[in-house]
Amino acid sequence: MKLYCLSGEPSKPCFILKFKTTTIMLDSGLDMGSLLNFLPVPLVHSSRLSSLKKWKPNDYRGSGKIENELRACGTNVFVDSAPEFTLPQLDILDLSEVDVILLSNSYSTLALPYVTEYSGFKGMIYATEPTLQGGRQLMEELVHYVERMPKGSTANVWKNADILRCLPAPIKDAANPLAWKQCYSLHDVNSSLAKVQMVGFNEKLTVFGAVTVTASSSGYCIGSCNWSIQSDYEKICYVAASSTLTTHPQPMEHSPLRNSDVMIMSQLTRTPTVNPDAMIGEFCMTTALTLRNGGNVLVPCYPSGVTYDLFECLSVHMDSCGLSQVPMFFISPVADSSLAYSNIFAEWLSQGKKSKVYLPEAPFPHAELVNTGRLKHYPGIHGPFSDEFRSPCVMFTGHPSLRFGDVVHFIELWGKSSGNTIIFTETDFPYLYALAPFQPLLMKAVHCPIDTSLNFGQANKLIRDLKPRHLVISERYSHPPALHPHRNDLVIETDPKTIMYKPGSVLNLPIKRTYERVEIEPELAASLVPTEVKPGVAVAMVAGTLVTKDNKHVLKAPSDPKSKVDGLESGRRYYVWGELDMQEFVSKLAQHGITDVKVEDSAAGHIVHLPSDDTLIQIEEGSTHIICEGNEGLRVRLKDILLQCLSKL
Amino acid sequence: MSTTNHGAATLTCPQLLIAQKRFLHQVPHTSSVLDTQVYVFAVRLMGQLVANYDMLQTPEEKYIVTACVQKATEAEKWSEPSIRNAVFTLLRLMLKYKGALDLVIKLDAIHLAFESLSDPSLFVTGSAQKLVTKLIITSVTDHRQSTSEIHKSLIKQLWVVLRSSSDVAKKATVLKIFQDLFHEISNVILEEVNSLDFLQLLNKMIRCDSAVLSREAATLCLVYKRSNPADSSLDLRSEVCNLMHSGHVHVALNLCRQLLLREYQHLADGWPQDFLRQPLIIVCGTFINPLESGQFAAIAKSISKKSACLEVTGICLGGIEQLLQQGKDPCSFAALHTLLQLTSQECQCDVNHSQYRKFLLRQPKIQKAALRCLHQYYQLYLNDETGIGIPDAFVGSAQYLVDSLGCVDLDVTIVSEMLKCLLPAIKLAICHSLLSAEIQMWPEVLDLLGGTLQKRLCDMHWETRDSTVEFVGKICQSCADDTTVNMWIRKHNLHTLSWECVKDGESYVRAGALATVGHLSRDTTIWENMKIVKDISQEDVVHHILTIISTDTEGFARRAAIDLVMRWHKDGNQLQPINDVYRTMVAATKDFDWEVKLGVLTFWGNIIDQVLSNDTLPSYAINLETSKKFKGVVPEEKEFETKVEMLCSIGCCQALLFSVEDYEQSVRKKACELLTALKAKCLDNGLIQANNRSKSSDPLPTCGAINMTTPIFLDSIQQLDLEALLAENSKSCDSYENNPMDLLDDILASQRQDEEDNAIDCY
Repeated sequence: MKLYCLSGEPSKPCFILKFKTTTIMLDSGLDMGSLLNFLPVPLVHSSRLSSLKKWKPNDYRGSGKIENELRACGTNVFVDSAPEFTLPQLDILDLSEVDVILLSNSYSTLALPYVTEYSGFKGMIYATEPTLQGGRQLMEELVHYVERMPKGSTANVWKNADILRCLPAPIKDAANPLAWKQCYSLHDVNSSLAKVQMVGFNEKLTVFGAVTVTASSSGYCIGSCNWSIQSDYEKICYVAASSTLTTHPQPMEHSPLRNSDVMIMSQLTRTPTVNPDAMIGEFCMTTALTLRNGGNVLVPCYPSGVTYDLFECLSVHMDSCGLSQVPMFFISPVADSSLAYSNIFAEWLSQGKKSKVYLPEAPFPHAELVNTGRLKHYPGIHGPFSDEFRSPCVMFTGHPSLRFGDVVHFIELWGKSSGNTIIFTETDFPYLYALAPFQPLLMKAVHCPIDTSLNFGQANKLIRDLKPRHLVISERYSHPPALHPHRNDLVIETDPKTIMYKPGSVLNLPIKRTYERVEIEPELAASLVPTEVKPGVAVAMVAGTLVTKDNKHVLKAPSDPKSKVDGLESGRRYYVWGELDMQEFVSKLAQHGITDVKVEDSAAGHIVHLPSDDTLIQIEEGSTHIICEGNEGLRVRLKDILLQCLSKL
Repeated sequence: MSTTNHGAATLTCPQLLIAQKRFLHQVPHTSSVLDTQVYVFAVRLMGQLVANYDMLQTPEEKYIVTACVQKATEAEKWSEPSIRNAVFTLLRLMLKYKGALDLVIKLDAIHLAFESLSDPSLFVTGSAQKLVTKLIITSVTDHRQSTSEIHKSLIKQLWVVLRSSSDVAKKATVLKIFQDLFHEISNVILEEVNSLDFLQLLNKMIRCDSAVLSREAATLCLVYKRSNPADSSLDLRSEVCNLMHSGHVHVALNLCRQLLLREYQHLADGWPQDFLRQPLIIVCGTFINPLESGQFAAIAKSISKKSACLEVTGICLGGIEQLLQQGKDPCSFAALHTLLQLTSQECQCDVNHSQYRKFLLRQPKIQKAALRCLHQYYQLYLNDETGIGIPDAFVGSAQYLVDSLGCVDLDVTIVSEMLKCLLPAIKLAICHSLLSAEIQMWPEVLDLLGGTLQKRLCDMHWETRDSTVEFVGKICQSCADDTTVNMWIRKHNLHTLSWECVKDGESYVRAGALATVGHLSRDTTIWENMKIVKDISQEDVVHHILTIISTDTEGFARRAAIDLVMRWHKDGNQLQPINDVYRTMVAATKDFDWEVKLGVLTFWGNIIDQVLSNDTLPSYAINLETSKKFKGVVPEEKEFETKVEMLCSIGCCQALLFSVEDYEQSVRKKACELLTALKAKCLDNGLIQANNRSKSSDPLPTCGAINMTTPIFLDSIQQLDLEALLAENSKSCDSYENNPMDLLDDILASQRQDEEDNAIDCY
């Protein structure tokens, strides 16, 4: 059993598990950290961005034309090109061999088109309906943002190792930029997602009969799940982004994950030192403070997940602060579908939200906010938005990387006033680096990272509760974060049974397959005559034809009676078993005329001496030796007498 | 008819007394049909009666008491705790009369009281305890009774309970009885009980597992020592030391805390505060080697578990707070500062090494107790004008407060305590700005505090917003004269944010913000700056306040807005447009909240005073001959009429007349008082004639219904019998005061409801 670790970022996981005869891909996360090295793509022409100074290394002597590829903003250098993404290491193995892809949540689906399209992939993809729809919205938004303002050229010269090492940090530390890829197209998204088969929680799905996969709620976002992959005698659990906090999704289920042979754990929180509740409070306070001072609040966000909680908490807080007249805007090409879908996924929500459906009310208050006109959503800043826009307001829009999307426009618009605030809640991007191309910026920047996934304390507790035999984690979780080197509590407690992986690792999982389940055909089973060998245990001899189909093994009665195994019908072969009763043996010998018998106990068993025949019988557990000086007749007699004393099968 | 007003029916006028006795006479005979609550009422009524009247004078009265108590002690009634409580109280009150002790014994009440010493109801336990105490004291002091020796038997019974009962609650009550008895008859008790045995028993009880028993026994020790200071067999200091060594640190510290109370202070000369400080020193890690001192080691050992550590630290802090309240400095400021850091998660300093940090971290009770002590410290230093006593850690402690206040997930009560502490801290910093070298850090601390307060004014919890806006108001009230604070308020927009809180969604916050706005408006620099920053005029501000008075859904906010208007009016602030103010105040006369209406009437009272007084001149100049030239040439009479006309035109008179008919008695009374005063002035100035009242059937003009003119108003007050109305509205008792029979008959009649066909429509 092997596990291929394709992703370098534990929060954007992508694994391939080879188990029994199947090849299973676990998640398909896309690391978007590379985006930060690119210049933002403004929605309307930005003279500031376009006038940034071109940059080239002082000692550059190469032949490639680098002049138009790099631009400097302050001490940072950015690539002036269409944005590119870091893909999982998909070249480690042939993707056409992948039988099935299991997706845990919508955030871990973003690399899917790179996996399924143009790769020869012909397997199945399993995901819950909200994961599918959420993933689709994220991908569509991404494609829309990237394609809306296409860059004329693609920069590749700067990726040359000679140039790369001359660049300033952090761009020079970019890992393997030659492997970065541009964004997929909407066609690829649709084609890829068309292959997804929707599953429900706790629905058992068989993969070629070899293993059963089951999704169970992970409590992280709507429809997010953990997977258990089970054969008859082995169980592997894949714990992806999970949350034990009470937010809007269905709570995390623990029982399906208990007592596994291997548990693969990924997507722990990226902000282990802060409490999401406190950060929501900080977010609301900062927003109210800015609004009370007459400023605008900009929230770069994804069109799902925590954003729904932010709408809910913020609207309540604004009401309580007397700011209910301040509008909230949500701008995303998928804003409409995102808000609509979230309110029809009642079965995937927490009990509190689910019960609202029976009132009947919309599970999320944003439906009410939209109806009352407090939350206004638009696909973009053009069109009806400009009629409704007023200041001060709270603006939720993408993309959190600040490299494309409507957020770029609002930073350009509001960035010059210290009365406005940009609040970062998403944890995918370091906010200071995200803001770097917009500097100097007067707008206040506040970091309120809200990551509801498991922190280290919760993860350790969960591991103690689930008791896996072996744990697989990223080696990054085994030591404290770089910013908090002394916080030894911010690690996963490891033991010898913990297996750690690095990007690109191929792990041999220590599962020894001992048993395989074989079914016996009813006719054959009816012909068996079990013999009880000890209380509660009966055994029987069986002979048949083993038929293996779709990874199922069935023992059938031999189709041709003549071909029955010798010894089963005509010359039946017996197996003796049990312990020899010496009293019985001696009396049997006497019955056969051998009366001069001496029995001695030895360390290994018994020694029976027949002085008159000059014969010695050594009886030990598992072996019997008759030493009779070549008297074959006597030996056969003695063997027969001995066999009479043993149980037969 | 409700039976909850029985306390009011305790007059001793002959008519009432007869009525009460008649009622009480009927009660035992109708008890089978009486509701338990009515019976409780009857017994309590009798209790109120015997407080002022001897009910044992005649056989008939004695019969009433006996019958009532006997009926009350029947099993069915006695199971009701209110009955037991009422009976014990009645008997205790009765004990001051001759023959009462005999009656109590005859009714077997002593037995009942002893049984109730551990009653599930604390009220019953308390009344039984008081009865037994009173019985003993009466028996000792009142020799009129034939059973005056009963106290010996009772003390012996109590002693037996103490020695042999397994009922902890009962023993604790008996200890309380002994505490009361030692105050009164210490010598009598010691005649019956051997003092050595007594102290030995107390010693044993102090060390028992029951916290209640231990506490009461310790208190009794103190009471004993106070009553018998010469008794050398009880040395309190040794007792405390022994308790500490035997691991009963919390009991020892509680004893020390009690010794700090005024009544026991003379028993100890300062050593209790040394003992109280010790656990704090250990917890803060200041004490290096506990093995050097047996006492320290004993304390350290006893607080090795979380619950014990928290309990001991809590007692210790309580004691320190007590000392500080008495103006004594237990010299623990540095330790207190360290303790606060230990409780705070944000603290990154070297206190992390303390082994007690894991117990104390984010413990709200400890945090609050420590903050209360810190507040007392600041107050203590604030009262010391020299500032010499201010410790070096002062700025550090204030910095800690500011840092911690920034923590988002802080409990709202802790935020409130922190803000309470910060107020004297800032005052201190201002008062002694030249006394400390560390004061250079203040700008930084103040800057951080400004930012934090901004956020707290927008906090998720309304309680925090409320405390913060109140804090800003207090700072402005007490320190706005200081240039630094004034600039600080403006720099951090605390004035504009406080104004924004007037629009808060929570009424308490709005009310608090309105009070703060009142304080802010007193400082011209701050107030004018606020209006410039918010781009609003004084008219806009007044209009917003008036909108709150007219439309706010909560009485708190409306009351606060009226207070603000009154304050501005009093301060001569620009209340423009004034006609809008008058119109709003007239409308507010119809408010649903009686306190709002009282506020409105106070406003009108102020207006009347202002209009009718010679306010253009100082009081000392009014009677001067030359003052006339300042008052103009308008004749006195004419001038007064003009003033009344003005009061009518602004709606004041109309509002007062409307309020006379209000459904709230207090409002009617206040309106009557104002109108009476106004009427008197009208009479003095000859606008109306005395005794010229004609019977008019016209109703009084309603507020806003008609345009009140001066003649109509004068006619109206002429018609009104204000004296009678005032007398009527000043009555403090309900209508049954004059005719209690109605009430009593109501009570009895209500019990016969079942016999009648009284179908109740639920809807």
